[in-house]
Parts: sequence; C-alpha cells; structure tokens
Amino acid sequence: MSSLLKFDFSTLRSKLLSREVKAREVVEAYITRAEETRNLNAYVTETFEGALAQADASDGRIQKGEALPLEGLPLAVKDIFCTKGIRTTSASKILYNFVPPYESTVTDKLWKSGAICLGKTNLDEFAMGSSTMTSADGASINPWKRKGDTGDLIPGGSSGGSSASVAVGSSLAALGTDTGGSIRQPAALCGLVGMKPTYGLCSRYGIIAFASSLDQAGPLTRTVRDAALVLEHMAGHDPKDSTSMNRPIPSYEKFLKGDVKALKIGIPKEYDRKGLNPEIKALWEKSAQWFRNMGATIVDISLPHTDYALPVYYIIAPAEASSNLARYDGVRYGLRVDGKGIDELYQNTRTEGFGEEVTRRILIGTYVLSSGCYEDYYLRAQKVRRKVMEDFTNAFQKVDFILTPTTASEAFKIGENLTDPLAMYLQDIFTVSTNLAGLPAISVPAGLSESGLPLGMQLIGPSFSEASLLNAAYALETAAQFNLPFFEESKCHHPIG
Amino acid sequence: MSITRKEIIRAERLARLSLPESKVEEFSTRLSKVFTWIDQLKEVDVTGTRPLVNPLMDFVDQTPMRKDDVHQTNTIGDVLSNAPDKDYDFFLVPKVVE
Repeated sequence: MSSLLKFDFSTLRSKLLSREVKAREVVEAYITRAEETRNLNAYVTETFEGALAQADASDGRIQKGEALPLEGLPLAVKDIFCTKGIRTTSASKILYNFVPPYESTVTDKLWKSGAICLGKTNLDEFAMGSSTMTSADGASINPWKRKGDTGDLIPGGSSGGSSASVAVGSSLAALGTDTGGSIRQPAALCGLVGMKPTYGLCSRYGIIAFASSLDQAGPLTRTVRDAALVLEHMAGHDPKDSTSMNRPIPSYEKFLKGDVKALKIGIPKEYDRKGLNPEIKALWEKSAQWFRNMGATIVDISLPHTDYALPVYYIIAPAEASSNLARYDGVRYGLRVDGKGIDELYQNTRTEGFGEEVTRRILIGTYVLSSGCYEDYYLRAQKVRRKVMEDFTNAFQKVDFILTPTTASEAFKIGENLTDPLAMYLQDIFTVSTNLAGLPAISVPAGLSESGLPLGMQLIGPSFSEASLLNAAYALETAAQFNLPFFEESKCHHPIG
Repeated sequence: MSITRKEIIRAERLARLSLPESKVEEFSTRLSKVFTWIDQLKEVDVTGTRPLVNPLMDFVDQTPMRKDDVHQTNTIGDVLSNAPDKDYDFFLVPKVVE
C-alpha cells in the first residue's frame, strides 16, 4: 500500500504544491488501491484513464504556478450526478445505458477547481435505501468488520459506495446526496465525516432527482477540514437551479479554529429514545462532556414533533419520487421494453426497469397523491412538516447547535433488515428531520462500538450556518481523536472483505 | 389503515406498473403495515398550520429568477443521443392514434 494514501487532502495539497509529489503519482496510488479493493463493489464505473489525464493537467498547472484550489484531489462521485460522456445509472436497471449529454453543476465546479474523477460509486437504486442493498449492481461492502467476525457488513446508504471508497482509500473524498440521511448515515457507519448542507446551498442541476424538496449534495471525507475544502467548491448559486440561493460562499476552512467556548449546544430529549443502544447513548453523553470540557454550555431542549418526522418523510419523499420517476418511460433514454401500444410500452419498461423498493415507494407516492387521499396524507404531512421545522426554529433561539447520534445502530450485516421495510426506514430516525426542515447537519466519527465498529455523532445547525457548524464539528473531531485503521502499515492485515 | 388489493391495483395503473399477482398480495400486506404506522400523523393538531412545500418557501427573495437568455445547450443531437429508438430528429414510439 502506497504511503501517499495516508494523507488527508490539506496535507497532500501542500506536498503537491511544494512538488514533493506529483498528482500523477497520487492518482496512480489511488487507482492501485481501487483495483486491490474491487471486492468491496464501491465503484460501478471506473474512469481511471480520464483520471490520469486530469492528473497530468494538474501537474502542468502546478508546474506553471497556476494551481487550482482542489488541485490533484482524487474524488469519487456517487452515480446519481450526471457526468458528461460517462455512464450514469443511479444504480437502476432503467438507466443501465444512460450517458448524460451534460454535466451536473456540482461536479463541473469541482473539476474546474482541480479535482480528479476516479469513477462513479454505488448507491441504493435512485438513492432509496440505507444500505446499498437495493442497488441493481448489488450491495457495496463496508471495509470494517466486527471483531472476530469476517461477515460482510453494509457500508450504509444510500451513498454507500462513496463511504466504502473513502474509508478504504480508493478515493480521498467522495460526493454523496442526502434526502433523509444518505450522506451522514453511511459516513457514520464507515468512520467518516459526512455533511448535508442547507437545502439551497449547492445546485441540484444534473443530480438525478429523488425528492426535490429534500435532496441536497454534500461531501464524504476523512476529516472536517477536507469537508470544508470540498464543500466550498461545491456550493454557490446556479442560474440553472431556481432553488439554489444567491448568497456569498465564505472560505469555510478559515473558520476551523476549534474554539467553542461561547457556544450553547442543545441535547434534544426526544432523541433519547426508549431502547436507544446503550453504547450509542454513552458516546452521546461523552461527546456532550467533550463540549463541556472545551467550555461550551450544554442545554436540554425539546423538539416535540420528532416522532412524526419519519412518517412525514415517508409520505413526502415517495410522493415527490413518484412524480420525479414518471419520466422513466422508455421513450427518451434508458431501458425500453416494447409492448403492443404506447401504454404497454410504458408499463413493461417501468415494471422491468425498477427494483422492488423503488416500485414500493412509487406506489406509496402514487397512492398518497391520488384523489381522495391527497388531503388526508400529502397535505397533512406538509403541515406536520412545518411543525417539525418550527421545533428547530424555536430550539435555535436557545442554542447554537444541536448534538445527537447519527444512527441508532452500528453497521449491520448484508441481507439483514431487507425483508421489513419499517425496520429499514428506522435507520433514518435521527437524520430525516433536518431534511424536512432544510437544515445543515454533519456527522463526525466519535468512537468505536464494543464490536469494534465506528459510530458517528451529528451536529445540526440553523440554515446557512455551515461555517460555524464546521468549526463545532472540528472541535468534536479534535476531542474524539478518531483514526481510520486502513492506512497504517502495522494494520495492513486488517480484513477488507 | 389497510390498503386493499383494489387500491394497490389502482395505484399500479396510475403509475404504469404491473405487479405479478403474488406481489399484489404481498404489497397490500406490507403497505398496510406502513400506513398503519403513518396514521399516527392524525394525532397532530394542524389547525391553522400552513403546509410547508419546500424549506425555502420563506427565503424566496434570495432565489431570483434568471434572465431569459438564449443558450445553446442540450441540442437535438445531444438529446436524441440516448433515445432507444429514433428517426430523423424524432423519438420513435408505437403508433398512438389509429
């Protein structure tokens, strides 16, 4: 294993700029690692040739003293971002052959900032899931194992290919999207930092839509500093997305001072659920104590509508999905299964092209939007959604940030939970509220479970508080001192599947 | 609340999906379970609460409309490049009108 893999991007960047290493060497090291760890099924499409060409261009710019801010960053992209000329499937059979004629705004900005595309990563089909088990390409595998158990674990989802890849070092950072927790949960289960920005901070143009009022792009990285660096170059107004906000984007990295003395951190009592895993509860208390030790004030708060957030989500997300996924009809792109007439062609294509979870959610969405159900379900859910948002607005009058666990459990084994949709939906219990309210939230790896698996803590902030939220996350990261074990020479034997 | 076979079949038709007979039963059972859980929303008093369609509803002044300028993007060739079936500059589909 190349020693280049162990550096985070801010360290690597100084080595690149001082010409101690070349971008080409870095990218070659990451390609080798990706090839060695193909058994994790992190990538659905590899773009190594293009990556080497981008690396040479990076070296050329560095040579001329024209280095870009993310020069040489080996990046993996969730296969839900359209990449011009590179197949983009959303891990669905219905888009198995789709080659976008345009580039998503977020990836375009990153390439223009010097980042290098290593490939497209696996996800739950159309980002609907928390494990990658609903991917048409099969599940990805978490590089972590339980102590004394070689069984394969899920890497979380839906951005599970991204989390598996960053954790094992087949990319240094990756893009995800988060509709109900799909960046933060896989980051937590793989020992990474994962950030969902405020709704409207990053353009959604060119991201295959799941639930348009909830979806938001964000980074998965090894460190908070890397998350700050990547986010700065993803964010910003885009005339192609009318929901992207027109406001200045600061240099987030400059805010990472680790000083939290003046901060008030809220602990919502409703998240201390009956049956909460005692290990997770203990780590939550320990994290609050770290903040106290650093001079912050811990405040008990209440978010009274917490229990309703998940059922609201499971009306709104499928409703929006059923509408967004109506476009897959076999006419303009993707799979076509012929039929006698146009209606039969639509039906055959969609029945054959969508997997079971996507079919289930389209049916739920269609049902709640159908006449006779709309007011009882969809409209009521939107009203309760406002209640959920108002809870946060009230809480942020008392505190600066809210601290919660990211997940209710550690990573589970591949195949578990798949048969019971409700058990799977409960994976998102601590993360969906922030999507409903449009708030930024970040998961920071905070410790290990007794079985040796990573656990994450989540910090939630008010809208557009990314700069100070990243600083609070940086303080938590510094206190937790979490380390990924996969880049230490002495632990090379650690099983990676 | 239970979701009947009839309701599943209606949603299938609206969504242009066709489940095998055995799946209709299974979906009816599973979705009934999901909707029984969703029904807890009826406990919430939403009198006088405006629906929240999008979290940016209260920030609309910061999401300006762009100018309606002409740009050359996604041209006919680009758009047709993924078509399962095409002829000249058109998507081809089975005959729609007799």
